[in-house]
Amino acid sequence: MKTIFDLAHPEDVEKLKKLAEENSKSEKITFYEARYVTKDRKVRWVYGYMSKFELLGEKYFLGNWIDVTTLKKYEMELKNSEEFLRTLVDESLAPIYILQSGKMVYVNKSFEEVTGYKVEEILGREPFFIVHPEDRRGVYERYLAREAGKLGTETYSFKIITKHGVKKWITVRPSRIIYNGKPAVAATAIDTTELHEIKSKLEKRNEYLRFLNKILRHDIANALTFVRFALEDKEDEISKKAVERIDHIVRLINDVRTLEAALDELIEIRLDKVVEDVAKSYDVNFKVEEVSVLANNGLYSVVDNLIRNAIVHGGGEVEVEVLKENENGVLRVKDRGKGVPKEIREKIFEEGFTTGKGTGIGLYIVKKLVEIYGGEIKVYDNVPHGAIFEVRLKVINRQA
Amino acid sequence: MIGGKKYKIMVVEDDADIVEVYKLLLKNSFEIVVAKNGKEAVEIYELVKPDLIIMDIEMPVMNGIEATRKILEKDPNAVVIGVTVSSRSNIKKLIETGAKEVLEKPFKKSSFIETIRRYLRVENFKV
Repeated sequence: MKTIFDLAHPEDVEKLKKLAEENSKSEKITFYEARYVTKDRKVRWVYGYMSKFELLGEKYFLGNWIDVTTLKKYEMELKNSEEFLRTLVDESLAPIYILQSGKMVYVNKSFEEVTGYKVEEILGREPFFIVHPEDRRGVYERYLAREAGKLGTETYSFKIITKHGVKKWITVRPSRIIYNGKPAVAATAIDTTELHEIKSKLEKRNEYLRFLNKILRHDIANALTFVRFALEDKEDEISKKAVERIDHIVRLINDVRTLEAALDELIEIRLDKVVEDVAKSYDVNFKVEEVSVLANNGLYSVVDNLIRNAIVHGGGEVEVEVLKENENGVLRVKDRGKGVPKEIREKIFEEGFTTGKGTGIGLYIVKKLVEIYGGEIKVYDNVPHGAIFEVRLKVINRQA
Repeated sequence: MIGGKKYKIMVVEDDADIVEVYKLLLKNSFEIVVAKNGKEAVEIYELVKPDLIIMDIEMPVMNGIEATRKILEKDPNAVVIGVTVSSRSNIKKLIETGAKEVLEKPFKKSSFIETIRRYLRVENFKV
């Protein structure tokens, strides 16, 4: 080793020489961070200082180091993870913000994109003016309670007005955090405008369907009651046929009425209870075990249609069973009729398919309802003859 | 019929034509009182003290389920028969509220008469 610089890491030699040069012209002590290489070729970090002095006309440097390799390693790791998280948050597709003492202390780029407000326009300000007036108070009160630690993390939605005056829905998930030593609320958000618009359109359509159905059911059926009464005792062929037609219309109305139930929210329903209720009313044999599925009151119509279908087509003997198979609630309606030929097994669930005995929409509605419940229906041969209609619905397992 | 007096039936129905049907079917054998909606039925129940109530479900002001609940609160022995075109879930609710049974419109005369006869036996009221 000729000089102290021989110890230094090749990449740091120039830097150290420059520092020494500067130090020789100054009266100050120079502190520095640099790498050196050990005899066994390991790179280590040091923190040191240098200071020139003169003795007997000769120039010297006084220096000292401490090894900071471990510290440096932790520092790098911290920096890496900080950088990683910062990039994740800054560049996140979802808007992210931090509120503290009523003011916005952090927002990311996506927040800018969704609200239209630039970071500098919102940072350090009270941001509640962005919230739609209808929701403002609620959002503000939730924020206060959350920062004060009285409200936990939750997910909820509210409306905002963007810088350009557009109404948008956002869904947020705020949590209380400690930011720079003080309580704050950090939240991620997603723009759910489209979802809310679809939902509201759907609600309007459902309302309209209910209205149509009510007219069909209530007003028409009431009118038919009156007409049927007037014709019922008449002996002529036309009147008799008219009464038959009325009864056919009533069956149609009943089928369509079922669709109203399809609009109801899906809830937990005991498949075995529904089957028991319906099977008893038709006086058919049933065997059930307890099983809860996700459905609504339309499930009654599913069971009712299948059992009635089996009675009409099934040559009298009908058996119904409900059991739990893996994660499915399984309903089987078995009859001893002629069975359903393979070539029409798909067709029987289509709109308008009839053998002349029904309205042609019963099984179609059954399939639609089962699909709404996320289940499936199929038909196959009974032994020695007849058909088995099988409905599979997802089981709801109640947590103990 | 008690002591020569006719049984009294209260018809709760908002459709005037259907009320006419009930009148034609019942007037020879029973005394009939009409309420145009659930609220009216609850209000006049105490005055009328009917032996049987024919109750529609979907009516303005107060529906038949609510009216049945209020009437049964006043008089748990009241006999309510639903006659309706309502949804299956409403029919279920009416039964749960305490209606003896529910007949769906349009009904056959014979089913209607048989239903009434299960609760009120009158000689000249037959199919």
